Amino acid sequence: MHSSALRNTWIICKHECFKRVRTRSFLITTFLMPGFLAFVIGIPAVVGAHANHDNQRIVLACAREDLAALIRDGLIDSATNSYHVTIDNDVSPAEHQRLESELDDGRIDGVIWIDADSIEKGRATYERRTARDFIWQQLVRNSVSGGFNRMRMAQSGLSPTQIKDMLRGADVDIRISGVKPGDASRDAAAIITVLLLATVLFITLLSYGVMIMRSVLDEKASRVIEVLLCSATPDELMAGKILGVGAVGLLQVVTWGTMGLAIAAPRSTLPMAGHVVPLSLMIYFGIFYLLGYLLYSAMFAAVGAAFNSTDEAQHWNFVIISPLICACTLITPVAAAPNSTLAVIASLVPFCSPVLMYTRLAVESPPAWQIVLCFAILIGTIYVVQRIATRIYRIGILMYGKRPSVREMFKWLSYA
Amino acid sequence: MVTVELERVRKSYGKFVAVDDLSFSISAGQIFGLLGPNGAGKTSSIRMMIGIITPDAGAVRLFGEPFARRHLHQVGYLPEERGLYRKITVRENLVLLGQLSGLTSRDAIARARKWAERLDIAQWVDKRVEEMSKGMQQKVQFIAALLHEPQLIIMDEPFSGLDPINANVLKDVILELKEQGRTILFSTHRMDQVEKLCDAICLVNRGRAVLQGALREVKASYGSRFVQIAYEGDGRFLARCALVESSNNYGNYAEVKLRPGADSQALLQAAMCGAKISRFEVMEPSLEQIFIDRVEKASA
Repeated sequence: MHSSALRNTWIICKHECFKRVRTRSFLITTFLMPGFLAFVIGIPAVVGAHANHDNQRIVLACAREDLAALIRDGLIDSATNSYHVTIDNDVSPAEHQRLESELDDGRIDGVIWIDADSIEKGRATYERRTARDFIWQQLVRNSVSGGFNRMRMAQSGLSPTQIKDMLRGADVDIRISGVKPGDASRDAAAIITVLLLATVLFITLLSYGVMIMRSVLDEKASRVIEVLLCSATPDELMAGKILGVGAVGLLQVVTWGTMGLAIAAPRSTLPMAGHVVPLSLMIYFGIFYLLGYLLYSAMFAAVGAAFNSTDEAQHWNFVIISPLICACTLITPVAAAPNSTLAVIASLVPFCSPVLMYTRLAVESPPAWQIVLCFAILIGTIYVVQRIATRIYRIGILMYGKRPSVREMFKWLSYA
Repeated sequence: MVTVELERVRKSYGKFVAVDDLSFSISAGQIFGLLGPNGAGKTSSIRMMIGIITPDAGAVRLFGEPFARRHLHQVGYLPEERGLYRKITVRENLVLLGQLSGLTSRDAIARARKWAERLDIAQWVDKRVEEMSKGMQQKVQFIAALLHEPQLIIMDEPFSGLDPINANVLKDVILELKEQGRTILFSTHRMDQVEKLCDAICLVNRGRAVLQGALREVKASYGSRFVQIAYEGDGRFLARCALVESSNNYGNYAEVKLRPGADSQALLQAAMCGAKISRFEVMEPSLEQIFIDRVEKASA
């Protein structure tokens, strides 16, 4: 690149970067957005935690006292929250009716009903007021089933020590190949964090791409582009703009990351704690952000140049973001089965790979050849897309008036 | 020395030919008017001069050399519509455009301040462009075109949006630039301004040059077949008179083109029969008359 071209690109890059960094909207999104997100994510967590500590009143109506005690012990041992379990040895139909009416009136929250017939058939009933609290339902199932097992074992003559010994089970220590035992990076909290980062990747690629498109449309509408073109080439303008806006995005992401680490570091139990996301994943995040940004920003710049208004560009805008949305919807299935055929293929498709290969890297260690192939395809695609986008940009920024057709845009490729 | 030279330049967009075999040259220190109706090819010609687009055929030469981007540091461009970032300040706009034209940030600020004082917008330098009136924005645009002291200044409708006082200030600056030996190209529809300021013109229509040369020679070549008449009363004599080739009648004032060989005194007598004449002047044609005449002929 010629030195004056580099100089012009640098001037445009600085201008695009500083122009945005000094705005109120940048400061708001950079410093208040994490707080807002924490609020949005935190509210359900707080509500959920609060719900778990509700004072739930459960009546355990059981025909056998020993079985009732075993089930209650199971419930109390397993539950970390405040459930009040009351044992009722009356299992007459009248009592059943009374309990049902109390349940309807809201005086109690649930009834576990085990009459003599139930004991014989090994079948209990759990009636509750609402369908919420799935964890508690599972707990009831396990405790009732465990209580029945213990009762049967005791009936067959085993002592409580023998029963306890038989039901001790075994711990399963799950290890992932290539990861040191005790490394916390692949635990549930870490996976949630990297999935969150993959989502941040999607949001930033989308929002900064759209920002570029709007900026080009604005320059075209205000005719600033004509003055700029008198001093700089379209290629210099496009490169400067992409780099400048990209730097703003990177600055914002780094600021968010630093804020997250600073807030989470003293609280080792939080998933955002520094040791949870290894440095390698942070580096991958930076690389995929840059590559994804270079790919999408060029397309958004070309669309901005080709059309006259946001409304006109909307259709193409959707075409561009479709693969990105597709990648976003695949984050969870790919994370759940990172070696499935779907995950491997989707993570190699260049328009999805910045999000999906990152997701795979976060939850497992894909074969090296797949990572190399992903980068090779992605970089090759960036090169081709940038070339096409630059040609459309060169012609499009000087075209005013009617909306160009796809055929016309193909023609532009031959003009440059 | 020739500052700008277009030689048989052609530019088409698909089937539409915007500029067709256009040739003209602008000498150093000249004020040159590029005239023509809408869609005549003026903007495409200017864009080829400043390298925004490349000609399909022909050659563009700046400062005696084939066009190269390095020449653009010697070119200032004022587009017809305001080409400024509206959300940033005047100073930031001028520093950006100055830097792209090869100035350092410090030089750009110093020169911007000097020009802002000269054009009486110094108090607006730290305001956002969107807060300014159209006329003031035009002044900023004017400064942006002159900031790097270019040898060639290309101006598309430079007086649009300016009140008569500010138009006069700008006119003085343009004449000063001419005295300094700068070359100035106007692209405009405002014939009165061109007539007062330009040394030479090129009239383009449908991408082709239909008339060009030194303004004085162009007007002289049209002879003295043009008459201005100020009158009161019935103006229908103009339509009836066989001496009149064409006329532009405003109700109590008319610009008349006589038929070749017609006697202007005979027209005066005919006019006096139908109306009271307060002024009758035989003169060279105005540029507007030439413009209309040529464009109508070319379109016929």
